[in-house]
Amino acid sequence: MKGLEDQLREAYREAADTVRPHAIRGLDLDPGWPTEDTSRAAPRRRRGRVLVPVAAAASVAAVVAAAAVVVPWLDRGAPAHGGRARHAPVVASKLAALPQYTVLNNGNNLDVVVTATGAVAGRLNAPIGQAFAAITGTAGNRTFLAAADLNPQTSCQAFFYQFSLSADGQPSALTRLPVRPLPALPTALAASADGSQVAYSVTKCASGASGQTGSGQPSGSIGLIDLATGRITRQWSYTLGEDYTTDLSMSADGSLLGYSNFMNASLRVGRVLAASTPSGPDQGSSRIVIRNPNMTALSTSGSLMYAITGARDQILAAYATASGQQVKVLHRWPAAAQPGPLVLDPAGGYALLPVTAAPARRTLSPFVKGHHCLAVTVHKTLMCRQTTPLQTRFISVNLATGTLTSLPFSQTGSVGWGMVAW
Amino acid sequence: MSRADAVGDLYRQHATGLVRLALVLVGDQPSAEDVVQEAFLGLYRNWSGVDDHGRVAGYLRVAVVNGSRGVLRARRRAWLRPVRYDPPVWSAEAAAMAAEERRAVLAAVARLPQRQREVLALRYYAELSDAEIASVLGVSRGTVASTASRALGVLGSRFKEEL
Repeated sequence: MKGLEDQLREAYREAADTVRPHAIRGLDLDPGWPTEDTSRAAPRRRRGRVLVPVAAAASVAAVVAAAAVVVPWLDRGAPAHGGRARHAPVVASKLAALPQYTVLNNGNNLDVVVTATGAVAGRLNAPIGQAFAAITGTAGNRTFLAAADLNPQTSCQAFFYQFSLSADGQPSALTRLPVRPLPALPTALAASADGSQVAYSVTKCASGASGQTGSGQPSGSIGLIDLATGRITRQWSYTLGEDYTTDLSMSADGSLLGYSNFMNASLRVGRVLAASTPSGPDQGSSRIVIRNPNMTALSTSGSLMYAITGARDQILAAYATASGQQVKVLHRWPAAAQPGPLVLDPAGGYALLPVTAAPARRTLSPFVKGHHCLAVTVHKTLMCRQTTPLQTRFISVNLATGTLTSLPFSQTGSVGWGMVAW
Repeated sequence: MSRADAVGDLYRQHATGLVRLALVLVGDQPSAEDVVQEAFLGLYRNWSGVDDHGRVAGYLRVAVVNGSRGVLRARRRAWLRPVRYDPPVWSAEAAAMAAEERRAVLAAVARLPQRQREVLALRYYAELSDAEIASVLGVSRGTVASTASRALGVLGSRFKEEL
């Protein structure tokens, strides 16, 4: 094993040496910050970032020289919802069957989008000093739950909130759930249909001055909150070496949880866990339904686990939670598409699935000072490399027939776990 | 010396090492610099709460590990938040690392679970002892040893398969 350890040292060293001390930007203590120590900071702002290019991409026959040019790059970010009705017209009746509102998590705020039109009906800002980390919906498409963490992440705390939508999609104010903040980072959230049971996944921070966690060995846990009492009734810790989940789901009656995570370095599994199981390590408490899913979602009855699998082509299929047997293949995507996360309609009939298109295209053009791009040197000429932003479109999947319906809104960038809810 | 001057001095002393540590954890320099900036901002804001200034380096290292986790977590759930990042330094697309073999090693490391990646980086890049790693990550020394052993085992078998 000595050889491998030396290889690791050399590889880390070479990677680290790509950082040139003179190219690191100076410390920006931001005069706008309060002079008194306080844990409630101003809302996070992305600083104007200075990008230090590394080297131009090598071409087949070209000699490409590395450049050390510092170029200002304004991180303007993705517009919350880049598109309106960019896709082919869809049959209104198909859209009418879907939940009326789709909630998109932008971190700093939540946007309530009318599913049938793509119009933004309302917006809800995160509490000052916090950012939304995960959201989930309940039956009726009117009550939603959100987990938030500190922003900026000066220490680890997870907060839980509830809000509701009016008939015209206007969100109520956030109501904090009667649970004390957890000293950890939220990674996923799920709820029973009536919203009385809320499941969460958290991962611990490293310990020490900036963290507030204890010295427990597991890296995090899944927990269950009973909203009637405000108590955390169960906690299942991730077993040593296991990774946390980001695709937590719950049956409508709150009796069963579904999720996937790495049980070791090489195997990801989709599991079910009975909510009545006593607290303890999750590996001992849960049952494996499927091996190597990319993502999972439990059906409302809990009898099926929907999963997307595949290293190249991506396959959406249903599996019996009791036996692990594949029950039905619903759809197959080519390798270029990146479907997910998988969000089920709490009523059980449809899945909401963002699908991100093929990787962004990169183009090179002569560099002009002031352009916001990655500066690279190709054949000793300074060039500007620009990347076409990823585009994510949203589709619904009829879970009975496998029929896909394109929704009339899209998103710049990809969409991750906890970022969209029905 | 004012708080800003003191933190500025610390930045000049430690920024390079911390950006390098963050780089091996998150993969790209802009994200690594963001992580380090946040760590120093946290130190600046909590300066009055730092009772032992001799331990500031340890505080910053923990903050960088936590900040790197935040970056990786945000990437994992993708980025509706307005955050972009460069390709990791070990990807073919980045082309910053000259040696293909070393790039392959780090690419294999990148496929390991988070805690295993952290233990390997702290042990083989930061050259911390298992006790120090245990302190940074908030786990026992035995956990560090077993996590490292498991990670090396997986890497070893992967490389054997590829060879």
